[in-house]
Amino acid sequence: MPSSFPSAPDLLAVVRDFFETDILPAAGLDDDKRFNVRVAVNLLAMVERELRLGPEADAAEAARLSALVSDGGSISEKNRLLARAIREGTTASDDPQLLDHLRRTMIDTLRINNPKWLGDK
Amino acid sequence: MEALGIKTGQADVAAKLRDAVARLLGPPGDILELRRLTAGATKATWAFKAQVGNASLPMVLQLSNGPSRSGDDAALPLVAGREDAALMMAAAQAGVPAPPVRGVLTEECGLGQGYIMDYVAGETIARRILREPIFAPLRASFARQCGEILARIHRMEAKSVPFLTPFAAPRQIALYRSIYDRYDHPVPALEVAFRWAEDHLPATTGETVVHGDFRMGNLICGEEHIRAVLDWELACLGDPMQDLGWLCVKTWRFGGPGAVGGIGERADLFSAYERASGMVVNPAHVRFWEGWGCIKWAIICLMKGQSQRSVEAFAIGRRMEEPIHDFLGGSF
Repeated sequence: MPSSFPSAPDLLAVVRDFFETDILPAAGLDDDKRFNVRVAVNLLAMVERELRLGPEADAAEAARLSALVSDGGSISEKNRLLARAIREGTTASDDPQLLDHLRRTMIDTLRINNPKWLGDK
Repeated sequence: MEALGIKTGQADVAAKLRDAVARLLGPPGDILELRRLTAGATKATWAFKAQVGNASLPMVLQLSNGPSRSGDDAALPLVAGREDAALMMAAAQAGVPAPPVRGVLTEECGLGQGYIMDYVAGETIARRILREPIFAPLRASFARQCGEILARIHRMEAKSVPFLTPFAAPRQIALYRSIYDRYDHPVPALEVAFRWAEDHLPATTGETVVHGDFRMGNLICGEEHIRAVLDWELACLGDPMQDLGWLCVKTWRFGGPGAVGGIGERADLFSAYERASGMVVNPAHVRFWEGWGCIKWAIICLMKGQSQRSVEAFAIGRRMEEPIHDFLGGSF
């Protein structure tokens, strides 16, 4: 699979470009459809960013989580344990290391989901 | 086939609407230019022109599906149908700009629950209201107008809307926490946020009618004035400061620089509200509701991402991290 061409992110980019340049400007799209096509185009861009940026964001999150949660294996297992620790009070909700981790995680997620929210393009 | 289905639905609505208009407003009731404005899972909005006597009246039909909602929508206290109409009429009586309700549907209308109201011309799209030069006069007094309108909403007599659910801060936090728990999708940042909310509950609170979703996007605006307040379905009895806080939540600034709807300043909102209501606004108290507003919107995004499989709902699901980011950064 890794050697199949074009790459997955490139496929998404081309499909998105097709919708933006060939479909959206077409006559006959009512407001509702036009709106939904725009949303769909944004989702394609989002998935493309996730494929390109996701692995590095995951690795960074996993590294930060390992410093905060010793048990559990996967990111989602560690997040489950961390969430419980915060709720039960064994991890302080104002712990600076925790808050720094959470802020970085949100920023990395927004770079994928909606970089404009960070003031980026 | 799908197009045929929509046409059939539209013709069916037109026929029943004609009878409803003739009965509720007056004959003949002919319907022209019927078009669907929105179509959600639980409600639909149609615009049309109705022939009543010699006049051709621009109107809106608001339909709601009533109590058979599934999942978490059922947990939230929502105002719909006849009660929604009664609430808007009570608001109008209290001097709040609300779309005039002209008739409430009955069972024999065959359209389910809903009501007919006047079409109020104006703009609701934030991008236009924030940027277009013709709205400059509105922008100059937007925060002040919001303060005045909210003061009138909070002065409404609770007796006139006895169906509203009490929904003060502790109950809201508990309800949204239970919704979050039910999804079993643990988010450490939300645990921090819920803890913050519980630790910062306002010490005192009034209990008034609360709009619940008063924000840019739900206001029909003219070039100088806010003409109508829409979307009353989240109304409840609770802390009036909730409405001031929600209005300033970063998401509802739509990228604009001002705290109030992306346009105005909190100081102007608060002073206008104080003048109109006779109450003193504690900024820290409002700040609680801005922070809680971030958390609430994040949970709503979570709900949307897990609800119907549609492009729009899933896209909202992926917005959950925006308000969490705002909350953690204290930029609310």
